[in-house]
Amino acid sequence: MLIQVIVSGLLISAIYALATTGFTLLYGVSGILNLAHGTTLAASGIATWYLMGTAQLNPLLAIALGTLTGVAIGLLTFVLIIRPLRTLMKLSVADEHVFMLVATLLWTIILQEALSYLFGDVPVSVPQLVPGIVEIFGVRTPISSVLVAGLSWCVIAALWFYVSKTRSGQTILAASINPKGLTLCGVNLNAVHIVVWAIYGGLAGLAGVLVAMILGVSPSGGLELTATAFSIVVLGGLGSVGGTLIAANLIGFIETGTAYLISPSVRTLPALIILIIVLYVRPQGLFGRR
Amino acid sequence: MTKVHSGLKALSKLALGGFIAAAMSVQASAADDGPIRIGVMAKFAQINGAAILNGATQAVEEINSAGGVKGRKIELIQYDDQGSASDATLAFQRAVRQDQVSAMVGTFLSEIAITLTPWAARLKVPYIVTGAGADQVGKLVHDNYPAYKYVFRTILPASSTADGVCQSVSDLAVKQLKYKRAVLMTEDAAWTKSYDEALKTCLPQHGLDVAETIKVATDTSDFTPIFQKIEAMKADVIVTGVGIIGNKPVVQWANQQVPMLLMGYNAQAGASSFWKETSGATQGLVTFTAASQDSALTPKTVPFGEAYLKRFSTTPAAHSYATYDAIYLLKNAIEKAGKTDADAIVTELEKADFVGASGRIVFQGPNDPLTHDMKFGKDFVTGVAIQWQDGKQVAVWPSDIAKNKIAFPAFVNSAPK
Amino acid sequence: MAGNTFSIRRPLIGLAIVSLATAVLPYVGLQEYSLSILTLGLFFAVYAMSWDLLFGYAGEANFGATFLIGTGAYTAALMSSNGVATPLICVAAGAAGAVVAGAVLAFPALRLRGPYFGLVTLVAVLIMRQLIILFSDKTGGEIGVAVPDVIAIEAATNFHIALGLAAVTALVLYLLVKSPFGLILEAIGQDSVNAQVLGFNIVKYKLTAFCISAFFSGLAGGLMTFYLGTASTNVFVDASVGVQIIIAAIVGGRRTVFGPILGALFMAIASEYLRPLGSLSELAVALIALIVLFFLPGGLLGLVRLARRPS
Repeated sequence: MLIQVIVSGLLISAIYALATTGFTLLYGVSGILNLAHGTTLAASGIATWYLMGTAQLNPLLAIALGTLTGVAIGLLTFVLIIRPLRTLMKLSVADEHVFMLVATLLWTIILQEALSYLFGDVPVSVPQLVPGIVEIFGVRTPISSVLVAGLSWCVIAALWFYVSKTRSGQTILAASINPKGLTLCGVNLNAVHIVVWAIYGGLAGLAGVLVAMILGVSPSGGLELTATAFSIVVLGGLGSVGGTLIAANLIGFIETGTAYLISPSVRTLPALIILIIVLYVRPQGLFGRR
Repeated sequence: MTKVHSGLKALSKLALGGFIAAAMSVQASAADDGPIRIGVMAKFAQINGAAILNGATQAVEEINSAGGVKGRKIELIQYDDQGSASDATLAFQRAVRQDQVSAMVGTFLSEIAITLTPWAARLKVPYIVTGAGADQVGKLVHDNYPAYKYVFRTILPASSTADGVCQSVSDLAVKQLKYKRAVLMTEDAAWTKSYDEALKTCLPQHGLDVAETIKVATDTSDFTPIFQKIEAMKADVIVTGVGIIGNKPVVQWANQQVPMLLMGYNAQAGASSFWKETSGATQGLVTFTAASQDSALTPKTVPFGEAYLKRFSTTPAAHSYATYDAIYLLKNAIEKAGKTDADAIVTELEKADFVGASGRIVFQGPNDPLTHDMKFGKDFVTGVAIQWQDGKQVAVWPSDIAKNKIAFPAFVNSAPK
Repeated sequence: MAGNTFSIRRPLIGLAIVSLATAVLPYVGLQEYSLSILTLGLFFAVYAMSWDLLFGYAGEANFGATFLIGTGAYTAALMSSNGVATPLICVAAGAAGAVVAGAVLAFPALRLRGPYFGLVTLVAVLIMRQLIILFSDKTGGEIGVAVPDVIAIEAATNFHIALGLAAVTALVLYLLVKSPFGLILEAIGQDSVNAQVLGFNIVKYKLTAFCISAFFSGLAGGLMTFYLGTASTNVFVDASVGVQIIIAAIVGGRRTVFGPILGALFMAIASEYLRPLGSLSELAVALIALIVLFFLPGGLLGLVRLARRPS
């Protein structure tokens, strides 16, 4: 039983981690909580499902195009929602926060309804890249889930390498710490934002495809995905990528453990309650700074 | 400065007046010799809603091209309830008060059907539920008869579905496959309460032990723990009851190669697009449903399925059969009554004995437990069990009409444990 | 700061005139169907006004409006379906239940700021929804609770109930925000540190604001349950319904009390006109709201003010 919890917990946590990394990165760098996050995941997953199933494309090509869908939606979110909000409305910092939430919520509805219109509001699943199963310590596991978990950690590692070891990554980090100073150094802040949103979109897009492969996605399920991502990110501490990774594993294991040891029907409740307790005791999250 | 405020009031008054004046101008009236208006309501962006709309469209087109209802054409008016009970009440009022429909059909969400039942009584309009299966609808009509007599239903209620699942599973799993032990896996929802109880008593009576009942939260994303648990119980078959989360358990069952058949009831798997949505993971799944395209339940079943496929490039779902039959029931009732008066239509519907595409439809009376639900069982409506085989739904039960046998996905061992 | 200092009498007279003028609509030929559109719109107006008391004045973005509304609706519906009391007592109990829920929600608001508080309110709705499904033998689960009684059947009576409720809510909230209490609340909402330094008891003010907001939300939730005939999760306990309420308040004009009424009615009437778009109508409403948000930060009421302001 314990081994089952560990194996299933590790696999689901890896997906949670990848699906929330983009969300927390975006907040860390530009201070934006993108409530359309889950719908961006869903859109990429649905695009891949359509390209692979109805359009009969090569699976790898379909996954690449699905990821690009995420990039496109990320850039659209920036160009159509975030930038106009900052340039058209002269808001105080506190107001901007709330208006950003409302605007991205509206954007969520627009995306969600457009997806329902084009593809119908039904849950869909992307076929497995490699069908078949392997036994891990006696626990029968789909090969695809193992691949997805491995891929998730590789992408997260690549992101860490990019941000901490490359020049362009350092520029982004600098933009998050002191945007004004960076402008004085002659860096085009707008270009930095576009790169950040493209990276965000790529992360969300790939995560969406993988979520659609392992768990399935639907247009109206986007908000639920956002809520999960939001909880994980807040538990870890807003903007802290390391905290997010730990929180993703925490929630993944608590949910899986609850399903095994208590009952599948209360799977999400303990995680939600722990989240609320943590917020009361330590409002900045487990690893966040005030 | 005070001017600003009073001016503002005046303007907002004006603006509101404008809205209202415009709202008043939207009006229509139905003359007695014009077309007969029937409203169809559902959330059309969902597969179930599309199935309802297509079933209604098919029936109306057939009736109109055959000369209408005693010479009067049927005009089908669509109302999208967006899946919300408050939108639905608004649309229902529009249909009756503004568009003056003679009857309403549709609805696949039970909360909407239950909300609209008293509205049908208040507004005095016949309303045939063709998608939502909660027993409460029939109970409401029974408890409030004759006030709520306007509500009928042509889709099987949950208790009849449980009955059909028990009969089909015991024939297929016990008699054909010699299975002895089942695990019941149902979603944690109000409708499965009576479903679970019925199957827990009925299945053992037919020789299939229920090792355990596993309840699954409707927002479950990862089914791995559930399937691992079930496997540890050494059962021969999983009997399901899912209407909200149909996709995920099926896909993960296939991906994780859980070595047992999924039988029972899966609402989503009754729709023809389920193969595409699951990217073929539904191969081998068995579910109880109203009818299938290859099962000659009545002489009308197969021709309807073929015409539907030709018209909509997809096969009908349970809701399509129900809505198709509902429109014909209304046509017959209006013809017999000789008018579109609501009470006259209700009287005729109560007397109806009609062979439709889903079976012989006779409604239960005021003294039966589920008033105005269809009588269920042999010689009435029986339903079928279908299995997904290579992209198609094929009937595997009842044995007198099913041409196919159960086939096994590669990862399922056919022999009982 | 002209908006806060001049007489409050004229807006109230305006409110009375508009309410009375609206009240006679059923007798001057307005169709029953149009009345039912306005009825639902007015219930939404109460939700939006209550939400804006927290957002516009207390400075708290509550994504869990349906936590309060749902408590009112389900309390009323469960009491009625179990035959405990008459509809009006059930509605009163619903409002009382919602006040308790409001107090519960106020506690995180006192500790948490910004997105953290928003998350807790969102999670509150999710937990409530799950509990309703989990205890479905008592709560009706996904099917909902049908109430056996109704308060009124006639469209005009229901319209008058909703109108009366909206007018009373607007009156109470307007007097409240123009009172010393409201001004202090607004000060706390804009800069709680400063307000604390000035010696105001933040706990008392915020708790009161939450309870008042919850009272009207729960009252409207209970009354709307008896109007619809059912309490169900998709109508009363749903994060996306909460979003609609936020949209109505922002489109109408936040921190104005009357703006959210305009916003809610605008949304109700707009979706009626957009009905021919079918499943695209919700997309169109969201698009309109987004445009209003960008180009009219003061909302529709702000537009009216702008048009009337002499240069």
